[in-house]
Amino acid sequence: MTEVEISDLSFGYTKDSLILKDICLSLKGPQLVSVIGPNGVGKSTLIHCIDNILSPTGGQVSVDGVPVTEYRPKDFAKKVGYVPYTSGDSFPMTVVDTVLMGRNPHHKWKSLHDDMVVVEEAMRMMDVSDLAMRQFNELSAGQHQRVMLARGIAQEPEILLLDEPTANLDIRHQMDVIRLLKTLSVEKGIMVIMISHDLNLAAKYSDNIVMMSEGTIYAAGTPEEVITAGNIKHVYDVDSEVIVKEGRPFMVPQDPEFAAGEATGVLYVPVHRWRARHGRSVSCRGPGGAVREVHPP
Amino acid sequence: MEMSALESLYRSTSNRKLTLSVCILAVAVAVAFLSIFVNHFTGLSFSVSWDVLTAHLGGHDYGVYYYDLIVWDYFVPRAIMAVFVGAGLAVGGVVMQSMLRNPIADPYTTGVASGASFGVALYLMLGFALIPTGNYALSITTNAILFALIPTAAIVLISRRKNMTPTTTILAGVAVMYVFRAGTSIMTLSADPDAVEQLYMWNVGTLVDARWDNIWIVAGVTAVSTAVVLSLSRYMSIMTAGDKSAKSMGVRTKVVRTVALITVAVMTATIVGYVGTIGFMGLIAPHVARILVGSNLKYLIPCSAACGALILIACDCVTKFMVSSVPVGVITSVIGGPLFIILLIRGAKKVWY
Repeated sequence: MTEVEISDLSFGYTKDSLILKDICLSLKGPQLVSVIGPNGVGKSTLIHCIDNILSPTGGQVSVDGVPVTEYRPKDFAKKVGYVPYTSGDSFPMTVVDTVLMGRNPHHKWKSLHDDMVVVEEAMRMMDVSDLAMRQFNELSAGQHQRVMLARGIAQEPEILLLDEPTANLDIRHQMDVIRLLKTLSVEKGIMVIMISHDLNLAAKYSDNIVMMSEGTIYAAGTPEEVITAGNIKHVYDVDSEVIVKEGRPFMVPQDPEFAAGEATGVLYVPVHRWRARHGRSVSCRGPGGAVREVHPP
Repeated sequence: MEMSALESLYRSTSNRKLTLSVCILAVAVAVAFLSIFVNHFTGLSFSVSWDVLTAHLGGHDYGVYYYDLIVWDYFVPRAIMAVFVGAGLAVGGVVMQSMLRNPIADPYTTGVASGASFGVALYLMLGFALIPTGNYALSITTNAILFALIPTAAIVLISRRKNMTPTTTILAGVAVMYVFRAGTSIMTLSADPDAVEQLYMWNVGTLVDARWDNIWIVAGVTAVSTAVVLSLSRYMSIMTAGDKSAKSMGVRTKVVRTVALITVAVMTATIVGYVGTIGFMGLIAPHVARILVGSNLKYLIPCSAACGALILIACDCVTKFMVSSVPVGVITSVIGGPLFIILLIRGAKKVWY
């Protein structure tokens, strides 16, 4: 069974300012884990330490009982994959070349055919098949994200780390991606660890949630245990009400100061165009927030 | 083995890109062959040149000392040298651009050429050779190579630091370049005018010193270095997506970067040691190639080499048409500069980021 063991992990670029402090975490078996927490709290750094991209200042990370530093790079890449948040603006390649990069750890002499089968499946999963021969930098941010996800899937790791996989996606693709990650964990037995800023999406689909605060783990456990009004207030300094919806916690931010705010601007839609499309009059919010009926001329 | 539509499209696109590179290289070799007959200022006719060439290819001399000298001992090595130098400088440029993830990286902006230039100046002005061989050409070359390795080492070491980005690395390269240039300038101040003139000719770059006995070194080093970077091309392509991504895909980024940069530094320095600093080749040839085949180094390295060879041999032909001998480095810059700007304006924007 896949296993990640993090013991007394600390990391800092300089000795006196540590980004991560004494992190202890043990994850076993296929599951979807969300790492949540405010900006700059060390979520990405933690992911990088698990993936051996950054070398910890103290403590260590083990995957399946072996410290990550002791793997050969290609063997480790078969175990752990990483999908970055930004693609990094660089010399662009075609989408298929980009996804094909993910096959690097599995690359063998004359393995292009087998690699292409996996690549096409990954591109189909991420709904980017029709972009295959396009240049990467011609795509939108959401398409970038899905190509990077396809690359991560093509790598076929046992543990998949993702840095905000839904950040640039519309609601439809957010749902698709997170459902896919859930499916990967259930059907292929992959441990998926993702950073997320969407607490409700994380709460709805995750098996476990790790909540970070100032370089340490503040709370960890099932969504019901972690997503509480008290935790959110402490970590994010946001008042909220947590309700249960479909058996999962659902967080609604509370902000009484702006609750009954009035519209201060004017929105005007030329009525004749509106009517041409909808065949009826519309109500517009006028100055001061007063609603007035606008009739077609 | 059943191929999907995408796979066969991908394979045919790959083959097309490689075929294109081979075709460009074939054109370059053809132009190189023709360049043997281009000799405006010597007044040798085509038929005489042809006879000299066939005589030598048949294994004996033509019999007229000057004709043999000009055609067989000067022009033929010069054409071969141009092909290898053009290819080598282009490959050097493309590798530096990819490894530093910066489109303006080339042997000049990274300080490699100015380091080599400093080494040559040391020998020409002060007679100082790091490895005292006693041989003029060999001393210049060894000096060039060894001093070119200093900026390379600086770049490799700087890029290994935790908080360094590709941009800061190339800025450091530019700083190193200025330091070496200043050193060269200080030496020229008090130097013998003849030595200064020699250094000047060397600094603009010229192919007229190509001979049978020195082209083999350049050709060999260029061929071996190109083979080395080609074997790393798959890893280097992945590294253009960033070191973090590359590491997560199992690439030993530090090893690949160090080997690739040192390989191209030795190659560039060898070339620069023999023909001087031919400007702009390391920049323009890779970018022309990028427009043609995209940025996957598997295709970009061969295509850049072919484009570099073609551009340099074409520029050398131009110099041969001129009455006085203009160094080829001047022509590459004069033609290359405007051409490069036109390329940039002509909407090649999907080629860069």
